[in-house]
Amino acid sequence: MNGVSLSWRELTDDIVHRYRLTSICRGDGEPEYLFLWRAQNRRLPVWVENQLLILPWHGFCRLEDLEAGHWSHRCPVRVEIPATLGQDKGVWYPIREGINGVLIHRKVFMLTQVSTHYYKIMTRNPRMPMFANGDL
Amino acid sequence: MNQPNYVAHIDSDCFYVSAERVRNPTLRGVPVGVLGNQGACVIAKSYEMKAAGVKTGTPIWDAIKICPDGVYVKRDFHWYEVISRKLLALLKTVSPLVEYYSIDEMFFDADQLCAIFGKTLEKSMEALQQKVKDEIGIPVSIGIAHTKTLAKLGSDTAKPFGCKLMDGDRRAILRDIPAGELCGVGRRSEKKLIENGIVTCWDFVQADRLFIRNLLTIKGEALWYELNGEAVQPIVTSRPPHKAIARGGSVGRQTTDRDRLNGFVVRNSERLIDALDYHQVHSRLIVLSLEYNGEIGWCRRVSLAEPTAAFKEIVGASKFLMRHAPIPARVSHMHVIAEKLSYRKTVQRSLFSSPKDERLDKIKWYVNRKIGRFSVRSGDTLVLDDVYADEANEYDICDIYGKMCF
Repeated sequence: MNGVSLSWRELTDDIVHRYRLTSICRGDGEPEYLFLWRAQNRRLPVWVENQLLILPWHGFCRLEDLEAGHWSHRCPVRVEIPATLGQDKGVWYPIREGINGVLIHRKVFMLTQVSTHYYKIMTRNPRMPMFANGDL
Repeated sequence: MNQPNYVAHIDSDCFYVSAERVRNPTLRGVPVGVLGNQGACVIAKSYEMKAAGVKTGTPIWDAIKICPDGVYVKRDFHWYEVISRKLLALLKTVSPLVEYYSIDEMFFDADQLCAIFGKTLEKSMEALQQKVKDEIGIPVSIGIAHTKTLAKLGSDTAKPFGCKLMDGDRRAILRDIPAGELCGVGRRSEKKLIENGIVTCWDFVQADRLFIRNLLTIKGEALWYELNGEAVQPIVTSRPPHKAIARGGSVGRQTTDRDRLNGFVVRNSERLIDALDYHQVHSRLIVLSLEYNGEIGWCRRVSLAEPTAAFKEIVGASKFLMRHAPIPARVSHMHVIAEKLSYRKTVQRSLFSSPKDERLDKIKWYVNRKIGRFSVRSGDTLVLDDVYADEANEYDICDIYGKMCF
């Protein structure tokens, strides 16, 4: 997973100014905000206690490891990463309801799971994000 | 029913993408590609993606190089059917005769349009186009003429989001349209026409009718009449009975694994039985065809003792054929086809047949209807858990019933 994009509809002006976000347009589409792994200032939008924040993106957390308790000592908190689009190995695709993640000391880790057949063929990635509603 | 004076053809512009944009407005204005069920190839694209150079059938890995900003969506025939049927229902409010030609194309009697919209025919087409956009959310193109063939040419040439009344100087309209664009003229027919100096639709119209008939049979002759403004193809409001019903397609990753292929034979047979049940027909002949690496390779048929749609007989016949199928190369596509169809109420039973116990088939049908398709399925399909795990595989375009063509 290389990043997500969030529609301008999902962000308030306050957040855009506070985090100095810059929008882009894809074709004649609406403005959107990119949050990419390769960005210098690597970060992700995340809902924390009913508040949308933009926090540092520190990496990925395998769902299997989380469920096995390997992350318990870090006291991870489950959070939702809102996303309109996702990007993996150059393929942009729509996301219905966001991605699950964990928050550790105000740092975000995206939850991943084994890819479905479709996702694996589409992106050639054996791992895919854990989508909030279960699938693409 | 009298042939209407004016026939309209309505064609949705990049239908799958437009349907996706109805439920996801962030895709508007963005290059969008719809991927096949495997996620490997683009099966439909927006005008923006087409302009970038992505073609239907382009593998995803080439598409992202050609159009890196494109957004790639998984196909969803359940949703496309919802939008398609909304369009059909809307057309039925403005026309007494509507033909459900395909998921994104419909013909209808346009004689009432002026009275309904209180405008000229040209303005009424535009009003209808806007009504579809407002009420359903998809852009459509509309052609109106005295025949179906001319109406379809009208909508084809008006795209995108255009309207054309094919009522003026036919020569001016037809001389720029290649004859190969005509619905019903395939590559081989087009080649024959070109060899005889018939390149454009106007050349076709100018040719001798009997010459066209000799060249392209009565189907070509019908096109000749239609292009000359004489309607010979009526608006068909209900689909004529099938001569054969097929289920199948790609087997995903190509394979020589007989267990997996047997799983697909049974899966396709169960889908076929669903279709036979829907159409209330029985079959007396089962055909299995296999393609190796995309090339048609092997095809065999087996007759059934009597017309039936019972799981035991249909699946038994398909599995029998599969057992005898050679696998010299990886299988890419498979079809199970039911032929010699007859209506269930008119079946001539064999004197020697014993009464069939179809209670299990009925229970399975009820459970699947109530809980969801394939909730109960043959154990032979357990090797295909990856296929069944993806709910998009539950429904295909051939499961949308009532259309005149695929």
